[in-house]
Amino acid sequence: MSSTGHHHLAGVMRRTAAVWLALLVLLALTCSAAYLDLGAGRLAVGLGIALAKVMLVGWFFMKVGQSGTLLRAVLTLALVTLALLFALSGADLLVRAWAPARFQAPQQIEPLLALPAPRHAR
Amino acid sequence: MSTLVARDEARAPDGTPAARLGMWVFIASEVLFFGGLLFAYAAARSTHAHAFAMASRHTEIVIGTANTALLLTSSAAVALASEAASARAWRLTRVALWAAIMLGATFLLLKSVEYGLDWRHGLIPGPGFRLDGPASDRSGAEVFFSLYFLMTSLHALHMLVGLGLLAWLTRQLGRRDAASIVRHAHVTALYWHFVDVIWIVLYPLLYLVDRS
Repeated sequence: MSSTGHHHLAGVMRRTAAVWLALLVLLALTCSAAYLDLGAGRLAVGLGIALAKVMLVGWFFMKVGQSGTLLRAVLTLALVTLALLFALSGADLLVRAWAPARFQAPQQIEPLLALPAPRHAR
Repeated sequence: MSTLVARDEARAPDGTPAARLGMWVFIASEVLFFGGLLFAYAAARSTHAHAFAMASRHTEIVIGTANTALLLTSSAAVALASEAASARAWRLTRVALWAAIMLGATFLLLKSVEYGLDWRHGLIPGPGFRLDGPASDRSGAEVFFSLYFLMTSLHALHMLVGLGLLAWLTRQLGRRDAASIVRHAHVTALYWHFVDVIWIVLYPLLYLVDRS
C-alpha cells in the first residue's frame, strides 16, 4: 500500500479513536449524572447525552453527513413517522380515563369515571 | 475456488450505493419497530413514575455500564474495519473485525450473567416476581421489568444476528474480490452501528432512571 494510503489510514485511526474517547467520556458523564439529585431534569440530561452519543455515531461512524439525498430522506422519513406515532399515541395518553397519565388534570378524569366530585367549588 | 468477477456497483440516481440505501431502509423500519416499544416505555413511565424509579435501581448498573462501554468500543472497531477495507488494508480489517466480534460476544456473555442475576433476585415478571419496595409500586415495577426484558432481549437478538454478519464477513476476506468485500463491510458496519444506537438509547432509560 502506498505511503499516502498509510498516512490516510493513520488519520482515520486517529479520528476513530477521538470519537471513541468522546463516547466513553459521555458514558461516564451520563452514568455519574444519574447519581445526582436533578429531579425532573434527570430525564432531559440522560436523553440529551444519549442524543449526543447517537449523533456522534451517526455522523462519524454511519457517515450520515456524507450520504446522498435519498439516504437522508429515508432517515428523515423514519424519524418523522416515529414522531407521528408518538404524537398520535400520546394524544390517547393525554385524555383517557383509565390508567391516567400523571400530567392529566383531575377534573378531566372524574366526569369520565363518574366519581362523585370533591366538595371544592367549581 | 471461484472468484467473483467485480461488478459495477449498483447505484441509486443520486450516486448512493444500492446496498447501502437498502440497509438504511431496513434501519428505518427497525427504528419504528423499537419506536413502538419506546412509546410503550414512555407511556408506562408517565403513569408509574415512582415505580419506574424504584425498579430501575434494581438493575445491574455495573454490568449495564460495562456493556455500554463494550458496545461503543465494538462500534469503533467496526468503523475502523470498514475504513480499512475501503483502503484495502486487509490485515487491519481482519484484526478490527475480530476485535468487534470479541467485544460483542463479551457483551452477550455479560448480558446472560445479568439475566441470571435478575432471575435470582426475583425480577422476572410473573408469579415469582418480588421486589423490596412499597406495595403500591409493585405493578409499576413489574411493567418496568416486562419492558426491560422485552427491549433488551430484542436488542440481544439483533446483536446475535450482527455477530453472525461480522463473522461471515471475516470469513469472506481473501475469498472475494475487493469491491465486494468493501460493499459488504460498509453495509454490515451500518447495521452494527445501528444496534449500538439502540443500546445508547436504552441504557439511560433502563439503568439510569433514578440512582440518587
